[in-house]
Amino acid sequence: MSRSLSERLAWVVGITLILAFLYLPIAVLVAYSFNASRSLTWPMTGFTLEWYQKLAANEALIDAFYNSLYVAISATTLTLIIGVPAALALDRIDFPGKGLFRKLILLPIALPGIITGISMLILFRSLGIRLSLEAVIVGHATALLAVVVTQVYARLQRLPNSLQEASEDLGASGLQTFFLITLPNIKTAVIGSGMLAFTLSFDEIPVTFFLTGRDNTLPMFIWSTMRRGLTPEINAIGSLIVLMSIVLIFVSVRLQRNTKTQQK
Amino acid sequence: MKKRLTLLAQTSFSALCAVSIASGAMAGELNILTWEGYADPSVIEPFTAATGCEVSATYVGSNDDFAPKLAAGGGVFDIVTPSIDSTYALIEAGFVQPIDVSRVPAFKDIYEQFRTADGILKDGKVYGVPYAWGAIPFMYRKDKFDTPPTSIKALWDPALEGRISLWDDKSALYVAARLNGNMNIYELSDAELAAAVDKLVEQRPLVRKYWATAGELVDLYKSDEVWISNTWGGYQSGLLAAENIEVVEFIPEEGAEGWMDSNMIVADTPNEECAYQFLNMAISAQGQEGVFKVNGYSSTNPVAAKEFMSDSEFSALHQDDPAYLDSLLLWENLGDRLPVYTNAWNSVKSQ
Amino acid sequence: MNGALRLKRALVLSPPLLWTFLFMFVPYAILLVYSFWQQKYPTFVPAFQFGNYVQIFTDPQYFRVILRTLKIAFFVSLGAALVAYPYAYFLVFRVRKPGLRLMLYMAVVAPLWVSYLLRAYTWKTILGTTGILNSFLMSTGILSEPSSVFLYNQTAMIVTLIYVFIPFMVMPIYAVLEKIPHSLKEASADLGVGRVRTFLSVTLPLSIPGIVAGFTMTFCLTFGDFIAPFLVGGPDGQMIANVIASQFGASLNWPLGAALALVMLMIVLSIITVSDKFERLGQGRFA
Repeated sequence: MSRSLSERLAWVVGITLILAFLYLPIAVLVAYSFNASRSLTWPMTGFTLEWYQKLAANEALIDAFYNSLYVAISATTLTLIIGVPAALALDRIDFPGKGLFRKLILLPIALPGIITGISMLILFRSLGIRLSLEAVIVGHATALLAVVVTQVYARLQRLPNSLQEASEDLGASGLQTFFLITLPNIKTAVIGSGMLAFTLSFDEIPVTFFLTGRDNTLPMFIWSTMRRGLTPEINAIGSLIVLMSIVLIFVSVRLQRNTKTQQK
Repeated sequence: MKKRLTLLAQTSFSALCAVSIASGAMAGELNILTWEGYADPSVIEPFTAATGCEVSATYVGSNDDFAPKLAAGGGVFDIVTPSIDSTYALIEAGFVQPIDVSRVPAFKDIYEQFRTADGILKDGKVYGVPYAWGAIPFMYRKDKFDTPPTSIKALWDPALEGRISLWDDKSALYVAARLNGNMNIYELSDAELAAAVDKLVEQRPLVRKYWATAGELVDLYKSDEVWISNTWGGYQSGLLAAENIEVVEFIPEEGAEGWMDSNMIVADTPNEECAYQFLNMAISAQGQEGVFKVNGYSSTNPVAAKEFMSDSEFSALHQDDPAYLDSLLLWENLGDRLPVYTNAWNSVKSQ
Repeated sequence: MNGALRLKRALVLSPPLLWTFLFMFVPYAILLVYSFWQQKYPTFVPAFQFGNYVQIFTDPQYFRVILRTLKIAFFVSLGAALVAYPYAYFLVFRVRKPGLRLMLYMAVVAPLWVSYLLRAYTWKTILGTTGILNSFLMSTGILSEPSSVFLYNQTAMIVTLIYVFIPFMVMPIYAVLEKIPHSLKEASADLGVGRVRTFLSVTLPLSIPGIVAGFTMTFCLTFGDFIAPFLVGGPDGQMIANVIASQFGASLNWPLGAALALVMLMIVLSIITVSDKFERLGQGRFA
């Protein structure tokens, strides 16, 4: 009994330490969004809401935020449109060059973003395509394809083939089978990988760095602002994002609970 | 009757056309790739109000960002503001187009040595309108030095270990070369470059951080990490003064580099009209006051500078002292030696 | 029927195939072509020569930086694994409530939402000479003077990168641990095997694929990072991605940059191949 108690204590302390490691910087980030001084140095100087007011008036920063949303949503949609069929193809269809296709499509997940970034930069330059947010979207969709393919493919493999065969035996068309049988079964993998792709795209730097024209995404805006020294305005937007993700966590926990009760 | 109606319709149609053409010329857009502070709202908002040109600015982190951004393909930017060491390469690469000086009336007011600088001329054509200039002096925290440093040697002083910073740029080689006694910093031989590299490698353990951006250097001073470094004259010291940190700029015995930034028009811009409006605004009293107020840099147009600078400011920024310009080692285009310099600097950082 | 099936397959296949061909195969091919080009003032010109590769393999600076980057990537992955494994283990085997488990899982993933740059930047505030850590150590009397050893060196980079990339380690480890059937552990316990031995002989081996996946991911992410050196690295912080970026920027030597990128690609590919072998080895032994 006392051994399990002390063991539990050790676990709790250890996990708390890890969480502290994860959240100390975020706490600092949030704290400094209320700091009176414009510099991000210790000690803090006083409380202010000035940075949130400035944030509301900073059009470039808000534009950058919307650009990031635009890029992340488009890139995620695109990568799902390409990635789900790719996973299906890997799982269901045999075709020449499948091995190479698999290797190629899974490569960017491990490849440093800088390589994806510069190889596409060179491609766009050769094609005479001008750098823009749309170029960034194509870059992100390519880099994140692997995220979707791996997760959806893994789920497909766990899916019994008999399900699909039964559906086809009953006379359902391929499309019907996909929407009525396959998709509902891989839904969580699609949603999960889509959310991860969105998250990664929203904060992507190396690919964006090389492919963006004159429009800034949020990370690029922050990057260029660092030139002049960050102001707590950026902490303010960071804090708002923290708030947003906390809300998302609670929502997804709720969602999971609901689906659990439904299943029962 | 019918004829009159047709006529009316015709005139109103042509009037409509005229209006739309006029507003088309008025409401243009302008995309500039420049340094932070060079597109400050205090300057851009009146400019847009006066000309209808909507300005969107993108900022570079270094002079070395201009060519790559343009090399990656056109159609993105209309105006760039590189320094005099990068201008000529942009001209030779065909990234920028010649400027019709007759459309920039105040061009003749610019200091002669700037408007006739080699870096912005090719085949008798002008490619850049000088905008701002300054020195790359050194600076130190006043409260940390009993005897003010006067030489670059101070940045090699072991007593200052961990308190030294140097710009993360090929400019570091210029500093080390001068310490070695090589004043031909833009034409260093391989041996002289190697000696500069050795000097920088020797200094590296004393360096706290190579600063990459203006904001970073300000932070380094503010958070008490760094006491002495080189700097963009006037800019960071101004930002630090606003934070109540007293730093002193000085030109060392070994001299300092000088820089000059010019506005250039990107080749085949569709927004040429707005581009010329911008060039004119930039060297007007209004534009020059903007860069003086925001960045603390010196004016390239002394006629305009007189309108907003007090006499003491005018002399503090060396606007009345052409000899000062000559004493600076004005940045030069390194030509095909640029990659050699860059590699030398990279090799210091690889140690 | 056969024709219709073929058409259907073509419809499913063609978008991903076209996409991977156009945006992955072609760019890498062009990258390869560029690596034989030549720098020529003011930019670069097409050529077929091996000068860029000769430069990479003869100038010691590239070897030094690659070695340094490998070293840092190794320590980051190791550190991240040491933190992530107990955390994931705790979530899977010690947390009973699924809601709490999901919440703690999301707590690791959520920081991905906050700008990488900001998360890395705050470490400056924490580790700096006048930073929070120093202030704390001085107020507790551990230090009498602020120390400058925490920031602007490779250790600071490693700490920051562990912090930034930890979600990529937790996710795959969590995934494999979750798949381990509880019955297996129970069986082991029923056989009277101690918990430590159960862990060493059942849980750990079964989780090797996840560790390898996370390790590979973190390693490769670190290998390509060029931000941490800029933010928290010292004068000895330059990594290979910085050198590549500077070839595409400062030196405007895209051919050399392309050659370096391909060298990087080769290193990453060999790491992936090795880790694949490792993963399969783990599976082969215990599956």
